[in-house]
Amino acid sequence: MMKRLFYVLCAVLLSSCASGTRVTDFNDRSLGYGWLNIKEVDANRLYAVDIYQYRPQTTEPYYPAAVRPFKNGFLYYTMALPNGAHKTQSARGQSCLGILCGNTDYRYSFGKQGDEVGAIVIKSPGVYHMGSYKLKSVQTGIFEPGKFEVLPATDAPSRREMLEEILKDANDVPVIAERIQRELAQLR
Amino acid sequence: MSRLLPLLLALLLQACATPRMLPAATELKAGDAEVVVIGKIELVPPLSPLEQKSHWNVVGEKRMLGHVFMATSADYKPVATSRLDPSEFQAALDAEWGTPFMVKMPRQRTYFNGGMAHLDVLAQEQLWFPGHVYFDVPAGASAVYIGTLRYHRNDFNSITKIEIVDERKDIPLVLKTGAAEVRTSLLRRLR
Repeated sequence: MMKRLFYVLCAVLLSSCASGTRVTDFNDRSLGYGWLNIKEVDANRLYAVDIYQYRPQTTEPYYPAAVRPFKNGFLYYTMALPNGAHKTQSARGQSCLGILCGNTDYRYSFGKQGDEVGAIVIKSPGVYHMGSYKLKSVQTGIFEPGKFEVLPATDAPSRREMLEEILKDANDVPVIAERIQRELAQLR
Repeated sequence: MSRLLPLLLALLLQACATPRMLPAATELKAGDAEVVVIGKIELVPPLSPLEQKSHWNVVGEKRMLGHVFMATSADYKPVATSRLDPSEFQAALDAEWGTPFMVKMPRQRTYFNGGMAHLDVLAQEQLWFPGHVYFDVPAGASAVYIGTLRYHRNDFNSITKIEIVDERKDIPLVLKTGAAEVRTSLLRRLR
């Protein structure tokens, strides 16, 4: 009896750690990428960006993006987007000094309404730029929660620079690497 | 200093305000200063369960998901959509999406100041809907039908179109008898 209970407990614990379905076939998937400048908000190191799938609706709408410092900002991308409507949903970061980071988690949510920031509609598999933006803190009252605004980034790296950077990571996914190379050939 | 204290108290009390809903009506009886209002609010395409996240540990969540809360008042004061301010929802219409409502409202020209629907109560994710409409109460009317306020949205939940539709067939759904006593006074757009 105790043994069974133990297995059930293990299964429950493991299920609570479950993450999204792993994508192995990228033939019908697209690369979505963008860039964020966070110099004018509290966080100075981004560690997560989530992309949300609006259409078609799904039980697993969140796509965690790879995030890396790039050209005075942070480049984010995922190679797993299916056809549909997607938008950059949120970015999370910390305030760090060298290798020491504070324990405050800063979450910048772009909301689930509106297509002004990081929204794309994928009709066929390919390479999609989700935009380059600057996050800027907005002054609020003492009792009000922090706010930020999103502005188009004027100092963003070019699409070519971003794609060349992502290409370094795409060797394991030949179909996406090929699409990036095709896109690079079209960019001036 | 004695002036500052009441001001501070007022500010603190305002911060503690909770939304207040308009009372539901079950029949056409209303007080002298009230009117029974019948209508409906729709969203096209409708919200699906996949878009709304529920949590077992959020009390009262079932009364919030699948509903739209429309701020109303005697003056037009559009709600701030950057954050939920309960003080703007002190006379809020709580309507289930796509289901006719019947509530008691003050007998006066009433403005819809903007609506809000929860996607995730815990994470405070909401959708916002513009108001910018009003209705009048005809003299002597004890009940008015204001029509269907229909919002259309795109893939990213931006509101792309607002319609006001006359669907008087909804009245018998909320009122078993006395439909003839209900005067039509459809919502109108503000100019």
